[in-house]
Amino acid sequence: MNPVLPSIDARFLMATTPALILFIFGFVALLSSVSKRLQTKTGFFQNLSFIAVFVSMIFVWNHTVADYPLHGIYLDGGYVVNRFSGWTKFLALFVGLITLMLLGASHLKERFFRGELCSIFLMTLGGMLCVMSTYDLVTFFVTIELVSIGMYVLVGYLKPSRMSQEAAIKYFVLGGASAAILLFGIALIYAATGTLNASAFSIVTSGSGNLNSWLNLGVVMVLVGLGFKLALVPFHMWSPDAYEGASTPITLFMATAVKIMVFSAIIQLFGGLIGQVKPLWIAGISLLAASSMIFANIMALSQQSIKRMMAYSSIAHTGYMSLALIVLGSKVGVSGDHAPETALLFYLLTYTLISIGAFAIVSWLENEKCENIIVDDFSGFASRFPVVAVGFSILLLALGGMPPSAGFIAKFFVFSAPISQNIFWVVVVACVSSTIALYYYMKIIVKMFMTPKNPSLEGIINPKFSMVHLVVGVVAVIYVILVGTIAPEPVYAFLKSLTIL
Amino acid sequence: MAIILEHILSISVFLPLVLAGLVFAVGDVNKSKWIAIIGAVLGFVLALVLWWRFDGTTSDLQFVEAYEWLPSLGVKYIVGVDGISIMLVVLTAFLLPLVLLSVWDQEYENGNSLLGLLLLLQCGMMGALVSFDMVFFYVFWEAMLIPMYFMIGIWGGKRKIYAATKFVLYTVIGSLLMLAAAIYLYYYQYKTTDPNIFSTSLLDLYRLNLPIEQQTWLFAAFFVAFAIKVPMWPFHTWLPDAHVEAPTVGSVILAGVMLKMGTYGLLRFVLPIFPEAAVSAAPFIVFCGVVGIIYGALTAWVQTDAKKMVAYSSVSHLGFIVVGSFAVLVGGTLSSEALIGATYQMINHGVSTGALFFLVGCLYERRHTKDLNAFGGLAKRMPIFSILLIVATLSSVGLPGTGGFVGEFLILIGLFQASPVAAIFAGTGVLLGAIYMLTLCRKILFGPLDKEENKSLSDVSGREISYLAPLAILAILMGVFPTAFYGKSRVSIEHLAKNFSEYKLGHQLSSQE
Repeated sequence: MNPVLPSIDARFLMATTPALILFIFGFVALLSSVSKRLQTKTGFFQNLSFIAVFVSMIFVWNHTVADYPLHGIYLDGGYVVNRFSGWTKFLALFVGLITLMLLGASHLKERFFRGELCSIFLMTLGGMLCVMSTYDLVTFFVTIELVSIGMYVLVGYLKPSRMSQEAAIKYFVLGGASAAILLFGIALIYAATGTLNASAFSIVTSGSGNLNSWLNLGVVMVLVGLGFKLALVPFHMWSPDAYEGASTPITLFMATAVKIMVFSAIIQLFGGLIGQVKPLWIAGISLLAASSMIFANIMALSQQSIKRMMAYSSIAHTGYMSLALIVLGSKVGVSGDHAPETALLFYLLTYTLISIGAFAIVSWLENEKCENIIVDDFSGFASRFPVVAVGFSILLLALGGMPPSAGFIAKFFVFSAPISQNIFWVVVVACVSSTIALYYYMKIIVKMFMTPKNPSLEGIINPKFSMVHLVVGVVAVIYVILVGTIAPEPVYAFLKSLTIL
Repeated sequence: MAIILEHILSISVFLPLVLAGLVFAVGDVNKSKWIAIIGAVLGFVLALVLWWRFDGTTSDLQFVEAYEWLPSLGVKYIVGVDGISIMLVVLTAFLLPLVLLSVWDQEYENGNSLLGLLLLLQCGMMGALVSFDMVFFYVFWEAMLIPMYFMIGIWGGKRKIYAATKFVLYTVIGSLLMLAAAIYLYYYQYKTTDPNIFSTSLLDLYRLNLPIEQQTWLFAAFFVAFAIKVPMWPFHTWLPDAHVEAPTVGSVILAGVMLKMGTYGLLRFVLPIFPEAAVSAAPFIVFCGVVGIIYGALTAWVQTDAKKMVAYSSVSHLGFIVVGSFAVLVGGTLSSEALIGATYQMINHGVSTGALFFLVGCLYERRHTKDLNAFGGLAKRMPIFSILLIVATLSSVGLPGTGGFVGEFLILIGLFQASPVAAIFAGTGVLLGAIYMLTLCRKILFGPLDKEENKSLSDVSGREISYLAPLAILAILMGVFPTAFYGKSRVSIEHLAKNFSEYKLGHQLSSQE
């Protein structure tokens, strides 16, 4: 039998341009690092990476979200272009751009914008784009490992401290183990359904008995593997250390882009499979979501280090997003169909923007202190920087889900998803854990506004004004207020139109 | 003029928001206080116009405005007012200028921010009172918490962080469970109506007929959220801390308006949407209310901190309002006397307890202590203050001739028809109320003037009279001419009492001319 190779024609090249640009520029960066003349020119690499990500963003927007000439399935499902993946790719690239901006304005600028690290970042981002554009399980595994390996390096490389190296090793070891479990799960799914192509999942019915139990076991193992990547409890152990050990812009990248990537992949790849394993899926994800929300919020209560607190908060928010994942694929949405997917996309967008603002502020402070920020560093913050304090409070209250912020609207949507299918206990757990979460968000607000500045506290910081951080923070706050009060409808309608797959 | 009347409710809600923006932008407290007070008086005038134009002969919703906000989910911005909320709207608008007068000459640090927060709070409270859409009501309900949290946390007493955090977390957990229940109602409506209605508007939710099993859980979720806010025993423990640690303005707004939000919510949401569950839970709720009345009164009696005593008196008086709202007669209807009494008592409590907190605040400004044993014999030194304090306490107690009597009497009549035993126990609450309130007066005003510091205290100044006197006069007027105040609300309240198991609210989409 002659294998039929999929064709690589001009159309395919145009469709894969976003990822190709990133890979090519990554290679260029890697090769340029050999040249002694270019090695120390941070400006060169900075411009290179900016141009790569920016052009890629424009391509993705024009060709996949705004206009559809390139939509279709290429490489027999190996690379897929549609509006949904176009949007998630755009969001991930946006986060990448912000990360580059924050790194460019940080004290780690010289360390990052050199050939090797820059190229790793670009290739990781390119790998992310590929994860979000595939219908094929093997391609999914290869690209997700590409991203993971890049992330391990990014976590441990930038800050030369034992803590960050230990964090990277933990991330690496646990990630490797989870990758093995993920692969085994994929193999079991293949054994049960006979196909690796996600678009065939909804058509293929697995047989009864042995095959069905293989499918169940395979889905469980895939969930375990993906649970590691998302840092859901009980697979979250690497996450607080990795978030604290990485430098703050990389933490932002981990907290947002990786989640966008994994959730997008789950919706695209495993959406068709859910119908066949429904009770298992509902039970499994409910358990993951509930334990993440409760455990992470309780653990965050006692944290002193801001980044560790944000790590646990990030785990809790992944738990809230998983509420929508429980009922993925159900049609009784509010005004018809695909409401859980829209809720998930809305929450991802909101959480991404809020995180961008919050991490920008933390990164701004860290640049002065050159060490991890703790809660006590915020004492009396409001009297020194009233505008930043108010902005940070708005972002923290949005994270806590208080009206009238976009965070509340997002929570409203994800709470609606399980209730629409009469699954209540997770929502009650979510309500209780949201209240617990408010306490530690308010703790920071208390420190900022309600405690006087203590001159004897260590690490008093006097950050200089930085335009980059200000712009990023302002964009985040404007989004939170606008979408929370006046304009949730355009955003929601736009995201809903993307989910009509 | 017509345009203003058409949008009078939206203006009332968002004018304070605009003013808050101006205040924060101006930044200087001396200029901002003029902006704030002119705006507050304007808001009060608007509220009076609203009341004047309100048609008291119909139970329909009036001054309704409806705009699309999130069509994909059927969430609309709907505001309206009917007899139940009209008095509360006017009270809220009335209290703001008085509160601003009370901070007029104060030297608060960051006074500008205090003004801004007061205005934001006003926006939230007005919005919650006039919203007829579940999502918007929830947004305003929770958004009210944030300015109050900052007020208690920045300008409060010694344990301010503890009090403020407890206040927010306790209220939020109730509200979140209410949100989950509201979402469930929304989907239930979507699945069981034909054609499928997806809307969060209360006017649609009123028409739902829920089976009793589901009703019970949903009723519990909604009821607990409002019971925490009221506060009804046993969910009252946040109140003494919040009142004691809050600054005077915070206490007045908290007692004057925010606590009424809980009782308003009971009348607006819990009774009409879950009638059968309310009827079956009524004995338990009346029991908790009566316990609250007696427990609040006994605890108030033994307090030595003046503010804590007034705080527990609030628990006691709001217990009256709760039992009045749930006075279920044989046959499954509510007692309309009790409901009118409950609604009237909400206003009374706002007026008299607001005045009491103002008065305690005056004492605090002079002596920087709230300890009752530090005073004594002040009547000789501060005669006008004494008159005002006595009027406020007697109105709180319910002496005939003051508004408190009308409210409590009507509640007790209605409660007696529902359950004589409960009415007897609640009646003892009136007696206990007299005991602790008169104890308060005695300790502050009468007795020998033996403490040195007290001998040189000055009587209330002109500015202080300007915000205390209106409340005292109102307390007496409300006792002598009650129908002038609740006359326009009577039809709406009787509509709720008689038809509450099949409650529907009609509405006109234009204001009246």
